[in-house]
Amino acid sequence: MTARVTVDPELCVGTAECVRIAPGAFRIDESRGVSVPLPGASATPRELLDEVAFACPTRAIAVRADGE
Amino acid sequence: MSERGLLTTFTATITFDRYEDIRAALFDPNLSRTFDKRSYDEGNIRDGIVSIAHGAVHRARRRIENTQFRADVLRLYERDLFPRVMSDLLDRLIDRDRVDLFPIGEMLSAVLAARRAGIEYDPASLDDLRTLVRLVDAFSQGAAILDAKDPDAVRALVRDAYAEFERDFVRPAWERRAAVVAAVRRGEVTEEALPHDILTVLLLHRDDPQLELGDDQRVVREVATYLQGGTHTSAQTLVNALDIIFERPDADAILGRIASDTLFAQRVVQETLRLRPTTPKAKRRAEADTDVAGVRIPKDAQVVLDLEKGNRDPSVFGPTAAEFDPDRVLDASVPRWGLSFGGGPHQCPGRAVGAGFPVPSTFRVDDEHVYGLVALEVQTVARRGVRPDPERPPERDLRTARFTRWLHYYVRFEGRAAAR
Repeated sequence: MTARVTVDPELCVGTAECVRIAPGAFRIDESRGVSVPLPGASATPRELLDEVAFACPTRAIAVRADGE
Repeated sequence: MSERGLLTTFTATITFDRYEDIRAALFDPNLSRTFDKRSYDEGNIRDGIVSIAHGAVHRARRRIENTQFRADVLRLYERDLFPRVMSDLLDRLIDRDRVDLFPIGEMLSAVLAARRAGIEYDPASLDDLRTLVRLVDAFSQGAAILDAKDPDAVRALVRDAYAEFERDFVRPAWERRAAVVAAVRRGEVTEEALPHDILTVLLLHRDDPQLELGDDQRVVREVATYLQGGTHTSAQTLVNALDIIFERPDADAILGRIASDTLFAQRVVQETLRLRPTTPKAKRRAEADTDVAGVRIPKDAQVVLDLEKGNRDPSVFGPTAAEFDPDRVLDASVPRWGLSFGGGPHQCPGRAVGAGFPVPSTFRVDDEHVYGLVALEVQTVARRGVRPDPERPPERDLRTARFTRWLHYYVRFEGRAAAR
């Protein structure tokens, strides 16, 4: 099952922890200083996405099963 | 008035000392670092700096300032700039067999912290560097004012330090950067011409009302915050690591491993941070009624987060939690430094600069790994044969209740003596 990954741009402060942990799933939009999910994020192993969400210091990242 | 001259009257004081409870508190948006007007606002000691800003202002500030902590910049610093700076400075500063390592550690860290903050000094001048370290000492006392033994003296000291810092270091750098920013805005040069530092991004974005940077003094304090943060914790951690090692019967073996294994040196640093957090007890104020770990916290309660105890929580770090063990195996979700860099929105932005990236539980890292500047410092002094000075005991910083802070740490260098 693929996951739906979102980043709340109001909460994100661009620490880039998500990029460090899962560089294939996130990038920093430097014009806004916030993280955005890459197209491949949903195919990233769920375990890694959960690690990213746990590590995010502002809890800006949400990972849900598709359809949730 | 209560709490040693603070103006805030707390409705309650609640302490957390379990790892998970503290982590939950650090993430609670109702618990603020905006603490007390007398401690922070009066005399403009900490007014409006990112460390105590809350909510939308804090997030906006962090978005622009975090650009200076990207992984590629960290790698450039630790692989190219820092080894050269460190080698050159140590050659100049270790000018006898016995030296005070704490100010040397501060000077090492101040070089790159000044560069990141965006202030300018004469790199050939040790006097300039010593002045910066003296100012950092004042700013560090200001940062720890809630634990100061004489808060009024600290306020006066910090006010004077800001004035000197602005006049001699910030204003000259500000003028040069403002000129480049203006040239970029006129389209005369591209953004590539902009220096990569905190002062530049503040000047570039300060018109954004969300940042609340209209007051020049607030910009000065913000730059000072990054200089202080990038200098003081690193120097204290270098000294604390050696202090822990020197107390052990296997000190020589540990120093030998550090000298030959950078990842081990990094684990030593991260384990030191866990056992000796620079801020052993963090404090928060409840801006609204909230619940943390099942505990009801009323508005205007003081919340004390006992990081020292939380970092030794056996349910997280195992039965040997109180012992120094750089080889301990931890769950992948637990940072080896525990909660020493805070957590949640106010997590220290310079964490990876000093301590590097988290060490994976496999102890295997790739070429992208960042070891952190303190690991390189510990490794370099280990290679130079650092040992305790039996004739001069180290001196703790007794101006603060924070037990992990040192004023002087005397060492000798066996390698230097042997080389003569």
